[in-house]
Amino acid sequence: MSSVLFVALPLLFGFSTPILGYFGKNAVAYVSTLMQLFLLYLGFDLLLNEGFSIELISIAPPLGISFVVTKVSLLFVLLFTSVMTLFSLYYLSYRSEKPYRDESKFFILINMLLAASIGLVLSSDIFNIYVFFEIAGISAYILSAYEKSSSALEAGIKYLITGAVASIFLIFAIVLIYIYIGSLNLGIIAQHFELLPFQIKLLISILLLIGFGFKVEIFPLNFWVSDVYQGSSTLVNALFSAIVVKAYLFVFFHLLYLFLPHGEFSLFLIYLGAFSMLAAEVAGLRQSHLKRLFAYSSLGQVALVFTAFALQNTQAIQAALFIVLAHSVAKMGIFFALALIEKEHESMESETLKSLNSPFLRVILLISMLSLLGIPLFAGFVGKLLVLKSLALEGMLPIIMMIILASLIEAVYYFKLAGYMFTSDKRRDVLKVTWAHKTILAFLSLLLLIIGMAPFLLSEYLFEASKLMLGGVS
Amino acid sequence: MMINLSNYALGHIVLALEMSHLANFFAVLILLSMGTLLFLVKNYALPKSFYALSALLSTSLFLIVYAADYLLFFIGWEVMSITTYFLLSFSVSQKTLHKYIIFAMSSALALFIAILMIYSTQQSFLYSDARESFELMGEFQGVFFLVLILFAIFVKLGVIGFHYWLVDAYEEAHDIFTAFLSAVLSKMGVYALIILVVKVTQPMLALAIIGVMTSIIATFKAIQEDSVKRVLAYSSIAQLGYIVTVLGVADGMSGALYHSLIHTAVKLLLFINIAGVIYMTGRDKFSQLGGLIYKMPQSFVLLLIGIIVLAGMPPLGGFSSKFLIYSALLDTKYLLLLSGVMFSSASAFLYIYKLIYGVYLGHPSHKKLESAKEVSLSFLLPQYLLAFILITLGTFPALIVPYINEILLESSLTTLSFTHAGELISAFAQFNGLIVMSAFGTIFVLVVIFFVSTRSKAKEAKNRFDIAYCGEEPDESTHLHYGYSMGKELARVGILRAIIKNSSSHFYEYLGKQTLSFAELFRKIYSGKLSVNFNIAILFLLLLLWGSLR
Repeated sequence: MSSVLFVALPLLFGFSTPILGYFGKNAVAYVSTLMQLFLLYLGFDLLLNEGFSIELISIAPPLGISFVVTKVSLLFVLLFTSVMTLFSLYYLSYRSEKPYRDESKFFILINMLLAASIGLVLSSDIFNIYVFFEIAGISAYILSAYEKSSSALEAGIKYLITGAVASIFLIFAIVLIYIYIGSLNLGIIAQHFELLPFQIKLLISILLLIGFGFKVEIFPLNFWVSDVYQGSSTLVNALFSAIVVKAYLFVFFHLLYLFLPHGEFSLFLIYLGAFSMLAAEVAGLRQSHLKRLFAYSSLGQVALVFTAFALQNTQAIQAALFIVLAHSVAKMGIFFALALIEKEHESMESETLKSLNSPFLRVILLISMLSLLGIPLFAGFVGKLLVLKSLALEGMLPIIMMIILASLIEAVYYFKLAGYMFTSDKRRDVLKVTWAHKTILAFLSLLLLIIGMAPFLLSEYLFEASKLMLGGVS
Repeated sequence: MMINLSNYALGHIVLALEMSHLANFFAVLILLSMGTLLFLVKNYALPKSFYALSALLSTSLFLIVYAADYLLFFIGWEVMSITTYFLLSFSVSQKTLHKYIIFAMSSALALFIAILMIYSTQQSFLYSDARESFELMGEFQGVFFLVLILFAIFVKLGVIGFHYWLVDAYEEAHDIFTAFLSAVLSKMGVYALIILVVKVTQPMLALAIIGVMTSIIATFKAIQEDSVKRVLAYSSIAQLGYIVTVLGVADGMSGALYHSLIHTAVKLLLFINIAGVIYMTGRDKFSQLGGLIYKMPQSFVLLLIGIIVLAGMPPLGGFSSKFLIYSALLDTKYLLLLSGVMFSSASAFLYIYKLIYGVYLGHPSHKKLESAKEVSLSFLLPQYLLAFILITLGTFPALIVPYINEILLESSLTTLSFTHAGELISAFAQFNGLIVMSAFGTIFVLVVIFFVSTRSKAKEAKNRFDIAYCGEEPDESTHLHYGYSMGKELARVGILRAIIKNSSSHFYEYLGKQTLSFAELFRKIYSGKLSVNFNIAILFLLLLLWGSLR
């Protein structure tokens, strides 16, 4: 089994869609889902057989594709494929009532997104990273503008412009690297990077920070996020917050650990992350549109992951991986549930929760929000505790206080929603949730509880993964 | 007995549970409250989730009590706060609920920072390392640590200035849950104060002063309230003020523990009693009640016992704990504090009298009250049990002294001397409950005999309005019950007026408004105007370049 399949299969699926289209509307949907299930099987197969490997597909040096499967990249691959599979399964039941227009194109796009995100995580060649960076970007732009409405178009265009600016910075950094080192392979760059003149090192780092800063949604560069979340369809938002941003985060810090193993800018990045979190949560306080509100909460969580990664030690990275998992699961639950609510109520103002008549959805939303908040017994707490613990060990009290303050503000607006859901009497008719949706949502919430109550099931694997990530195997 | 839980934890965190005498003492308080309140549930149609949440709440309480390290304590504390939120959400308005959760989360998160601070010095969450860790902290850090911990605890206790959420929540919560809030959840604050502050630091005079201020201010705030549950809420704050006071001085632990027990029992008794009145009449304001003594005589007697305890008068249990509190204050020679506590105790009579007069005495304020009946046995039985406990503790005040001594020994504090169960001995005096009780009992019986034999055979009133004199004939619009505005006149006294009229709510509302407008400012950054945002991004780039050139 080759790790290339993870990228090749979804892309191949894209090419075969016109043929599949002849077999009727459903063929595309089912084949796409089956293919994702197969990828999931492949991922677990690699995990169980410890099939960690490096694969090279040489074209002509310096061009070539090299994929590295380690414990940490496999973790992300598994996360992305499972998120995408759950998304597809969820959508299969959703599409009978409200399908996307031009469905086969939609399936091409989500599979491209999957392929590119996996490619980002697996490739150990900076030019390939750029290519996947662009593919992921382009499919995300189109996905965000997929619904024909003015807000969707606004979202698409904003996403496109910021994405274009980001890739300019990234390509500029790659050019500089190639000029000074003469290789695009991450391993070779890592060996020579330290020997570069300080100014050049600094310039490349700044260019990479700005280029990836747009994508990892860090403070002054994350202004586009709330508009994109508002304009995109609710289900797709689950993909944005569970897959796209996580892939970029991984790549950014993977490069950082490789290029700057001694943590030269660590303190600056930690402050940047903590401040981003605070700014995002404060901005979320006055927000009444649910999708925008959860966009801000995503910004906050991503900034927390950013802070943890920036600490550059194994415990903090382990914590970051915990938060990545918890956040992905929780945000999926939230956006999946919101999609049903939006379909029924045709509004995404937070006041609609007052009339939500489905105890099941209310509980799902509640569990996901409590996990995001980092309440004990839920998955989010484990990550938050570990981050704060490693910050405490470094003696960074101001950062701890910033994060806690941000959590408090987050709590204020989450509990406002909880108050809407649990105290109001003005209910509409019962919102019926199909059993397929119920199963998936219940599974997600259960996962949050299991990780929260038994984090020791995962902690060893994540610790190994974080050691590998910091050690910079390429 | 200690149980190590490290196998289930993460990355070298040592977690443990421990069964100490102190923990058992508070566990008994929890069990006592749960046991008595369970009698009541069959009177109300409670949803299933109420029971599930209550079970989760009690689990978290036991976790708090039996934890041997800060992390488990924090987990219990946070779960307690969140489940309380959902238990409140069954009956409380959105505004009160939101107020509660903001305070509860601030409390929990302040605690979180504090435990991380203590962890960072010695990399241990265990209580056994706490004292040393605290001493290793710098002076500034140490003070900051105490401020955070005290903030967390004060919010839970509802110390004046931090009680903004408490009174509304007590008033609006389900009658059963109000009793639980006052009897148990506030005791968790006391337990936290003992574990996290008293055992870690030296006695703090500041704590004692805050406690006295709390009890005085809360007492006067209670006097002018019209809602029965609000009066009891303020009374809770005031009673906890005594506990805070006595924990702020050396050797105050015995008084604090004794008073915790008494307060738990008496507040359960009073809240169950009032729950019964509300259940029967559907009214919870003094101005709408009155004259229930003939309809609910057993409840009246039980409330009478409750208020005697609340006032801290002999011969009942309330005096035993007050006796220990006064002795501890005398022992440390903080006479001003002692007089503050006595002043507040004496002033408490004003609202205590209102409790019995407004509800049971006077004239019925509405015709509905004339058809009220005695509450069922499910209300009376727990009250009899609690009254029995309180009377026993009045007669044999030293009954629990051996047990308290175990706790004091465990914390290496000086124990109380003990001769027999009837005699409570402090450093200055001794109080023989047995003698006092028999003297009071004899006088009481004589008075009753005298009263019954000399009672005039005046004609019974036919209805509520059969009280006309001087040619005035009352009708439905006339307020017949003095409870209507009882205590209002106190606002004319200058200093009391200042206490009653001023409130911390202005400060918190101002703070909330400022935070919201600050948030508005940040929201504008995320307004979606690309030109503005790219300018900010360029500024960020320039800053980075400028910073790197330096």
